Amino acid sequence: MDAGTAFALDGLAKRFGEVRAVDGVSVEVRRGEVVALLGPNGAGKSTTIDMLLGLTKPDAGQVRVGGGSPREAVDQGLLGAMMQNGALLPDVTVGEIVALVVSTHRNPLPAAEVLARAGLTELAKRRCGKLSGGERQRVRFALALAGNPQLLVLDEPTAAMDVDGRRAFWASIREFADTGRTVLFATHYLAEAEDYADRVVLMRHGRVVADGPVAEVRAAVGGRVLKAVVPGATESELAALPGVTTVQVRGGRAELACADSDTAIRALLAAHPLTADIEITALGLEEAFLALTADEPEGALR
Amino acid sequence: MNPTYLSLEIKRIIRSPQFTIFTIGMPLAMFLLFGQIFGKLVAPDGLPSDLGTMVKLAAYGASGGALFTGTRVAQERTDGWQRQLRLTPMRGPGYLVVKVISAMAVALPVLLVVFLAGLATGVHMTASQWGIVLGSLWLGVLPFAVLGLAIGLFGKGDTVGAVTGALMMPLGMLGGLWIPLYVLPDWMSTLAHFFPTYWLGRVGLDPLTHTSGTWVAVLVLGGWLLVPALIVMRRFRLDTARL
Repeated sequence: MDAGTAFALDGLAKRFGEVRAVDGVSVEVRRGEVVALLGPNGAGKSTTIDMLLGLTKPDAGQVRVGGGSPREAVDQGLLGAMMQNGALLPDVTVGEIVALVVSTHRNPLPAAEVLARAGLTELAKRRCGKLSGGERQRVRFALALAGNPQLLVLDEPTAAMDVDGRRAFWASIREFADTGRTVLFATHYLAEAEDYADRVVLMRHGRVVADGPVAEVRAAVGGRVLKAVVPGATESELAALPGVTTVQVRGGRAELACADSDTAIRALLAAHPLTADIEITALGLEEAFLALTADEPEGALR
Repeated sequence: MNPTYLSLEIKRIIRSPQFTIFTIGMPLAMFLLFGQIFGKLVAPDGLPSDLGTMVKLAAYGASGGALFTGTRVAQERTDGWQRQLRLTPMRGPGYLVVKVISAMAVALPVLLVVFLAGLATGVHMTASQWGIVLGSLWLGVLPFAVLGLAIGLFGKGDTVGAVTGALMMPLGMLGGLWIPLYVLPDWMSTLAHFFPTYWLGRVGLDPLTHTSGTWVAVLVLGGWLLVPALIVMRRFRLDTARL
């Protein structure tokens, strides 16, 4: 951990009774990175975020945020967070709740600027209890911005937002990140991870199963799918070709999942010169995500 | 202590229907009713009944209002508001102090409204007596604010609201604030000593009857302040988990 590190999780573990919610998570994030934390429900994302924020004490391991503890980072306004279903006060107006959280910080952004950045200026006089789901998310975002943080942590930020709201939200995140600040967001929307993150951390069963740039995580599952019409070939013949991992034949069309599609296509054309209608595609993050987080035995993963 | 939070809390309490209807409306209506029933009859303590009724119902309203702080705290706890605050530099004690001071702040208008109704219906005291009684009652509300807080840290919003509401009846009735104890059986007078509301009434009325025992009432209320305060300190430290 050095001055360029935004935060570092080192060997974090947390169990709830018999369940190992988080089981040895180590992640170091550099300043200015935008990182997506992906994983199915129960993967341990929220518990990891709770420990990063200092809301839950880890059973083992260490959290450092900007050189100190999470609590110190919160006190200094370095760390802002938007929690899933974070509570608002239903009888208080948007302007009042923002002014309140601003007032708790030592070097906050002015309340008017917080409202503007979260797109809430028009809603300042409305009570929180009267907001739509998407509007409430924007208020939570505003509260996270109030202390003018260096690191923004967002748990499922765009849940309950409509398409326009989502676009506007990511535009303000982009604006925030462009000033060299760090963002970590947990999401179920893979497209968001693909579109907005520099780096993806995939979790499953409390562990990190992949961590790297989007392209690298995609490649980690063995890359490409080869589809073609192969007259007269059986599944077992195709599966025996070099570079092929699994085969499916559907409606006369073979689908070959390939670890090395270049070797596979050469071998295929040599053995079956009549092969036609060839198509080779890279796995999307969606497929990579499914492959990496599917409930398989541990060893099958990498 | 955060003044922005304090003023927001006071605003929130005052604009809630609970405050207008129950905290102010109930004791006011009861005073207008009971004050008329007993009128200027002189009670055994030598005070006119309407004066005693006014002081006790003001005490009832203010202590009830302060106790309801707990319901708000429990509701916020259930909603996760305290978790939200943990993501700000505000600390637990800052939150608790705001809760107690705001409860005290809104107890004052409750006392004033009932006192004004008393003044309007002919309750008589000297100017300094009005001041002393008001001041003693107001300070006497402090244990109720802290007691409310302690209750609020143990339950969920709905439960605590129901429990507090149910508590207010025995506190008012058995503590002798609703009906003068001298018209009730002796055992009820004895029982009343176990309720903090009884001692709040004493703190308000003893300065008028020149009873030398005011300090007993002050001490007992001090105990009713200390115990919940210790519970709050112990309990709040543990209370940071996700609900």
